Amino acid sequence: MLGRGLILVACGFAAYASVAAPASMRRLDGRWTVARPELLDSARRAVVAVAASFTLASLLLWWALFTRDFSIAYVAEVSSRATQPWYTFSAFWSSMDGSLLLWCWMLALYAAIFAGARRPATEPFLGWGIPVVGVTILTFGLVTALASNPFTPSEVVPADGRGLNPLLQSPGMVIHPPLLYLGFTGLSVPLAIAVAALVTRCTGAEWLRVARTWVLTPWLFLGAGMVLGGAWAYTELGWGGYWAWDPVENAALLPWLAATAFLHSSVVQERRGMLRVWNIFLVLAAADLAVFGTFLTRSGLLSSVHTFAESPIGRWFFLFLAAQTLVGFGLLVWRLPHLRTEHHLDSPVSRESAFLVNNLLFVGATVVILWGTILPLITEALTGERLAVGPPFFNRIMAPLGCLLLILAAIGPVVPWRRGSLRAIANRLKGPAAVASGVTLPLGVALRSVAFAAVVWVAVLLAAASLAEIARGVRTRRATGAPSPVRSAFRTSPRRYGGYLVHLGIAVMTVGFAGNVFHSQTEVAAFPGDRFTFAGFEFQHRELQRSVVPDKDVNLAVLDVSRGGRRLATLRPQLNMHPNFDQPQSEIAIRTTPLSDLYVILAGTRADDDGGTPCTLSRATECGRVVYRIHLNPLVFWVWAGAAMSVIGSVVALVAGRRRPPAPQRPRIPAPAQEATPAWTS
Amino acid sequence: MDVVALTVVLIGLAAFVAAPLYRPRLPSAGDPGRTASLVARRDALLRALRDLEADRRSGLVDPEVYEAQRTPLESEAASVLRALEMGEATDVRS
Amino acid sequence: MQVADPPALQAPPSGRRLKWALGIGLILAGIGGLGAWAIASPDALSYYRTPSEIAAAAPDPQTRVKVGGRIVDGSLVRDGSNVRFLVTDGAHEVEVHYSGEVPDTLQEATDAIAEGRIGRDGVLVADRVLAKCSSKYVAEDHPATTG
Repeated sequence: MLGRGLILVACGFAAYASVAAPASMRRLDGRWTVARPELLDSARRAVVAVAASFTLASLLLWWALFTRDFSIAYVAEVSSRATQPWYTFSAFWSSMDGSLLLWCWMLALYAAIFAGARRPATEPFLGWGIPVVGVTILTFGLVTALASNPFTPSEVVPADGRGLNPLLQSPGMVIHPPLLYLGFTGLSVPLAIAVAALVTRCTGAEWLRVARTWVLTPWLFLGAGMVLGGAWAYTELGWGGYWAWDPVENAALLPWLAATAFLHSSVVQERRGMLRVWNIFLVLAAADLAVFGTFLTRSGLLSSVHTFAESPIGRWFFLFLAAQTLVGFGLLVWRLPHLRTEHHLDSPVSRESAFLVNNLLFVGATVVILWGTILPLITEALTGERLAVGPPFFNRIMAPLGCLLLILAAIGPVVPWRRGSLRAIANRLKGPAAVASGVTLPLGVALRSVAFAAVVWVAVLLAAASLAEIARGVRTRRATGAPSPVRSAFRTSPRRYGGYLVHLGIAVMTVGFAGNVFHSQTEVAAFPGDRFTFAGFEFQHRELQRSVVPDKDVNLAVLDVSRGGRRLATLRPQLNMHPNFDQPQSEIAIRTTPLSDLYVILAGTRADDDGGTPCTLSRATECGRVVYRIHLNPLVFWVWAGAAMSVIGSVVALVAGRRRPPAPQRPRIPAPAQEATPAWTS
Repeated sequence: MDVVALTVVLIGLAAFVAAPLYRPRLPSAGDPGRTASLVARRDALLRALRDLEADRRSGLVDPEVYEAQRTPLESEAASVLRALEMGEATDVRS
Repeated sequence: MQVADPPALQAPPSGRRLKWALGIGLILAGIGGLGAWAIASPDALSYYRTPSEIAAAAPDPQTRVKVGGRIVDGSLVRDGSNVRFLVTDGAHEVEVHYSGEVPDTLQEATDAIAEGRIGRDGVLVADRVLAKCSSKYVAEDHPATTG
């Protein structure tokens, strides 16, 4: 009762803010100004009040979880007396209702920072930006309070709750949803800024800078969330991979792609005032795709690993998504004449042109992935045919598109603005290209795979080119006698050098992706003592241990791994039965080396055909036979290493860039004829 | 009990939100938006000049092209800085 | 609120604009073509079919199908490392062959979805079997050996 009331209070203040903020604005001589600042102040405070209310509601839910208040149905559904503290904490967002509350809360926090902080750069966008976040919060809040209330009381108060789904009991699942939600919800603020910019026609440098700042954070969270989600899928779900092109995974990828495109494309507007329509479009697209993602996962339209049970709230999200898309793009079309610039691309070989192609590739990839994701929906709606789009489709698109993007990432930094020459680019990249060829040609011949060699060639090209540019920058600084050249490089041009690091990380990840070409797997049934070989390793199944702990029956198999007679490791995969959840849950055993992962699943037992009695899981000890499913996953290590590199590079760019670019000493107002030595080039 | 708590929260937040309405202010004379816009433009120009210089040093850009691109950037930077200073002067005066 | 952006250079002649449009169009067409090619590749799509639909119209042996239904009592035979069973939707049945180990979650009188190709003999050679365990599906995965 109190919980739902708090959510509704938040909705009330959100509605107030959405009305008060634009009411404080007045249009004078074609320019929007704040006519009644006290009203805007009140609206800003209302947004903070929204965040305060949602914070209280969230704390209340955590309180209920930690005090095991099973009079609340949600608490009884997702936790039990035996649930460990960390998982009681993460049970908050483990199911639909709580995750919606989390969404609202994070959105409200972002909005409060946006509206509450006193920053002159954001001020022009508050009047028309607050209603955008306000209406968003209002919609999601009402849906939560009225249709998906986590504080709904239990009809019958149980003695103990059901407990947290064992699949969700892993460290990854504690962080993965909040990270992703911080990504999704955060894109509402750049949307608000874009809408405000369109209404007030402030679409120049000030819009860009604020929008860029506000896109960077959710972009980082989405990226990190996707990587963690992949790591969780790999270590917990046990199908042997880390990315299945699941609709829910795509739901996070799509806004991320749009946001990445924007972060790149904004550089062109900043430098040359071009691609203004593109930039607004990309921000709108990112925000719309984020809402689309939540619509997909919550409406139950597509069956996948993550989808919550079917629920009528899907139609509310669809309506909101339609409204947000129409308003945003409507405004864009309305302001089109204002956004168009007189600038034109001077040459197809130029950095502007490279960024334009970059935009096209990113948007193209986004559209094709989106199409593949919703194709089942469309065909079912139109023809009644039920089909599913599998990973081969997505892999087939993204491999060539990805390679093109990587090549572009290598070319971009080495082609000048306005006009460059192909010969100069080739000259600059011949070193990295030579390195790439030197590495991949022997590899390709030895491993006899053209696809693998091509992808690795592109990845090494990008890695070598990025490293070469970093080295070049450090070298020139050292030549001018700068004290710490590396730090100076990152501090004066954080965007550039952080960008090189990120590209380097992506290149490394791509090598990891390429390893998939040589994936193999096998299934083996073994009695205790049996030996078998696979992928050049020798295995021996030692025994199967059975034990019982409070909330599960544990079956643990002991498997020795050797190579050439030398024992490398002992792996202990498990197959456990949770009485409350009626499903077996595997603990995967993985042996990781930079070259490959050995991924061992205890798949189960096999019917005992001597005597005809089926060998069930509970009788595995008597039967003694187990079934192993073993994957060889080459180069997966580099996916995680590259991801870490990219995240570090992004953080470096963010943090190092906090320092203002070194301000020049105030020049005496120079007459234009005077030769002023640039003070900013130190 | 719940209702009481909720009412307390509601009244507290409402007071917080309504407070500015009882202290109406005049719209500020200055144009913070314009200053922010100038600052953004200045930083962008400085960054562009820095990158241009880096490109020249690493041989990406020929000296003539460097001069041709540098001059308009520098003169715009100068005028933006001038506008910023005059804006500051006005604020100080008022 | 607007600060003047850098001045424009002279506008390009319309011939150049055409070239730009062509270049952009080419890139977009290329991506579209890539998408079309990818969707047409053999394993990209799989179609849901009920046993009755299969009985009514035998699907093309080249397309991937997913067949769901209840495993018929007495039809589940584990033979070496192969499994055979019948799935039914109450009206018709489809025979499924799966080569690989399937643990205990796959039992008679439970629901399952088998994914693979149906040969001319009407038998579904599955490379993927999902056994339904009360509310969740648990996947068993085995790559197709040869077709």
